[in-house]
Amino acid sequence: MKKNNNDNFDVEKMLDELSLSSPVIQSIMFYVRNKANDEAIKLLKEENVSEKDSKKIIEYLFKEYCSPIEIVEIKIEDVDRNDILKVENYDKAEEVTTYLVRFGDILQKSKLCENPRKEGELVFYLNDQPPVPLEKIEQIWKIVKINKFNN
Amino acid sequence: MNQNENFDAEALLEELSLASPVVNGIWYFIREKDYAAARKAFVEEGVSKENAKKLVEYLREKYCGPIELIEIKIDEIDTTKVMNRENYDSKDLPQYMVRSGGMMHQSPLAEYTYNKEYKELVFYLGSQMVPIKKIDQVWKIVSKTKKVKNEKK
Repeated sequence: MKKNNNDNFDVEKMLDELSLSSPVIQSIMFYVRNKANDEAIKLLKEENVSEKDSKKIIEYLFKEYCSPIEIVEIKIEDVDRNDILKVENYDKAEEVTTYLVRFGDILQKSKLCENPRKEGELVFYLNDQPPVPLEKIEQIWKIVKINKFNN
Repeated sequence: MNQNENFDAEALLEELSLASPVVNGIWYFIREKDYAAARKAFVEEGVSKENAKKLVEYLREKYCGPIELIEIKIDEIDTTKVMNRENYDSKDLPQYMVRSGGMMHQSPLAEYTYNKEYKELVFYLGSQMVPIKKIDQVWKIVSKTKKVKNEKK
């Protein structure tokens, strides 16, 4: 989960301290996505989180992951080549820009990656296709996150 | 169905009834922009060179032409065009890009039947089934399909 420098940082710290197991996080996210806050609070209570903190956590998760986003069509040349998912930063994937890319009839969300098999080649991974070089992608949209709560 | 008076690509494709690996292979070539290889594959299936060229052009224009994503409101979704058991394989259903929380997927609107009395409209996001009312954002995928050029004799 990415860190930012605003009030939300405390919640990040709180989540770090809690070290919730993956299934618990998945379930909480499921409830948050489905706007079933009471269920999420119940689950956090089982993890010994107070109701006040639970509300803070839920509000944070909702703001970070459920606020409106915009899809902006860009040119292949506008892809930020500095923003590449490298093998060594695989775990920081959330900090790398996600694009919506189209290759023939495949339309999928993906990140720009370094092709580990061919030095210098930039590729997108789409479903079960072999890695698709950037140049062969037909259309590309940048997924812009608008966190309206921070405006 | 293509309305071109001289060449009906859809009818020809239907007549050919190509095996799945052949179709996938041709798709692969078209996506990879290796149109010569796609034409060759059609010729190997008994299609004339001229028709192979037209078929590749048709598929390229129909499925690889530019598309547009238009953000719409949930209540603007056409709830009359729904994927169900009868039209499961239909490619004519409108496709949407839907977002629920951090998940974003392409999906048609589908009907989920709990029992004979209760039906619900849902989108499939990967392995999750999300009721239409719980979707956060939705974009309509608009295909700007160009018709195969008329080639009047």
